[in-house]
Amino acid sequence: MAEKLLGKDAAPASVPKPEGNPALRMMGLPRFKFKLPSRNWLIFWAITGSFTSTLLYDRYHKKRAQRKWCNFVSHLAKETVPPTMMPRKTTIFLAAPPGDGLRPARDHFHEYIKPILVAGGLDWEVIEGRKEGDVRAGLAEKIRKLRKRNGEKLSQEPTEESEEKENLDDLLYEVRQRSGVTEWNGVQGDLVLGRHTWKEYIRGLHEGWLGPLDPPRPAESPDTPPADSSPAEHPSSEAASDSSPKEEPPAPDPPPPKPAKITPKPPYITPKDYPSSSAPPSLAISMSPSLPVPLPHLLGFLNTPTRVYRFLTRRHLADSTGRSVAALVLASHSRPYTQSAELASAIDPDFAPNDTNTAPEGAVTQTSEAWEQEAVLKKEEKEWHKSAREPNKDEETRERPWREPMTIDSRIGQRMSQFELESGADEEAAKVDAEKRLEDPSLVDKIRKWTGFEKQGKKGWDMGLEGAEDD
Amino acid sequence: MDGLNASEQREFQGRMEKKQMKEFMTMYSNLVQRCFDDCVNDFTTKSLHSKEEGCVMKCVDKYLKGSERLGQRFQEQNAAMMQSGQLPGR
Repeated sequence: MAEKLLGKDAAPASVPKPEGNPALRMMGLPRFKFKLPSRNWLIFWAITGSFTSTLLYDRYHKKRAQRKWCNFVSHLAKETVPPTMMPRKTTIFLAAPPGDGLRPARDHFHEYIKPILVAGGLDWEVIEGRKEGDVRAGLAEKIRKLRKRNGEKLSQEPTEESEEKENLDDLLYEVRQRSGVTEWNGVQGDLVLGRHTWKEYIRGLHEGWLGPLDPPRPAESPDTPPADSSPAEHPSSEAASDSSPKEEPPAPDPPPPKPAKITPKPPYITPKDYPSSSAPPSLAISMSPSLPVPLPHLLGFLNTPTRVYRFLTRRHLADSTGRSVAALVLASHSRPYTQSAELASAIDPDFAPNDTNTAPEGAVTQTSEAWEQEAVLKKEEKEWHKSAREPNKDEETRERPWREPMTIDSRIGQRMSQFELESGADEEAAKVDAEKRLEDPSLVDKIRKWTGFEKQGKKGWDMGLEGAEDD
Repeated sequence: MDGLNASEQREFQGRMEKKQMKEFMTMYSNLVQRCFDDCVNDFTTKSLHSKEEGCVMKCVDKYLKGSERLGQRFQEQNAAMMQSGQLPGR
């Protein structure tokens, strides 16, 4: 394409020279005629070329942005850990976005988050959710296990179904304790991908910490709140839970889900019972900080222009995601979530009137103050597939944490915190990256290596040993 | 193991000890071989340079700690296997 466009000097305006270049003619080469390709070809090449070059430009800068954040945290991977300590293990929360499968969330994790975790030498475990509520159930189960480990007792015998898995985990835990293997002694951290996962994460935290340890009874009638089934465990909660449900309207809009055979496990506690349940003694002063990461996910044919635009500007996404994940990996700084009255007007206008009706007595005082957690990644909700907003059909008893407003209890809300980069981290990252890039082989060196004309370095016995200088 | 008489028990013990010894020696010689190859590269004197010495110390440390960690994980997996009667994670 390039030669064809460059051949302007052979424009048809000049008198055609049948001879052409005499030198070429004497060599017996055919006469080349340079002219622009036809209109259609020009259009084709222009569109294809501009799309391709935009794409390549974007991917090049995406790689650079990711490398920048990888370099920024890579010093952590070189630190030594005592052999009897497990490496730091963050928890990743992934859930299938509304109207789609698990694949986009997983791909996003692999593409934008994993490289930085790997560069920082982190281990992680993933709590995945295929359906709405899976993440909530998984997290709550994890917290309950922690509570049991801290000495809380079930008030009834554990059921058979969950024992197998629990035993295995407990066993591993015991073996580690016996052989003196300790967990990582710093912050572990949680990474939550997407607003929908965030909503479930908040629910899971509340359910795990405020809910009972005993599973709800399967044959329970819908109007008894599940918290009532565990008065033995929280003796103080009995009086409170007796008084609060009476003041509720007879038909609250989130129907308490009936336990079903399918996954996920039914919730042990519903949001309206949060104020009436007592916090367990093992609830620490601060919880492991979390990091909500946006998951841009847009479905639909009519959204194609937006999707193409996003496809071609992934570099910004890679940069911002890398930045926040780097904050998690460094874990040097975290701040508590804020709580203010100004936020209240901005949050959930659709649900505001409902709130005052359905919220039990204890929560009425809280409607004026709003939590920052509720506004986290709020923008994503507009892009959700409509199936996430449709109410349950008559017979359905599915739990719907995505469409319901978030309920935050102050005991949990105050203990949460968010990872943050310290100020000046961006400049620092750019500096580290620039230094690293100076060490890169130059283009000439790369070509030399590729073609096999490498410059001979020093022989092995002439070279010093790397890292041996410091002693 | 239970169906063995006293002399067979002894024989068994002996063989196990021999096997363990052999394994240990293999590990040891591997360690020596690796660290020597990686670190010692100056044969003009008979003593080790400070550089080389540091390197050998680090190398041995790394090897031992690595195998310790590996051993712990194997123990855990072993215990999990004994518990469930099958490979963990199935």
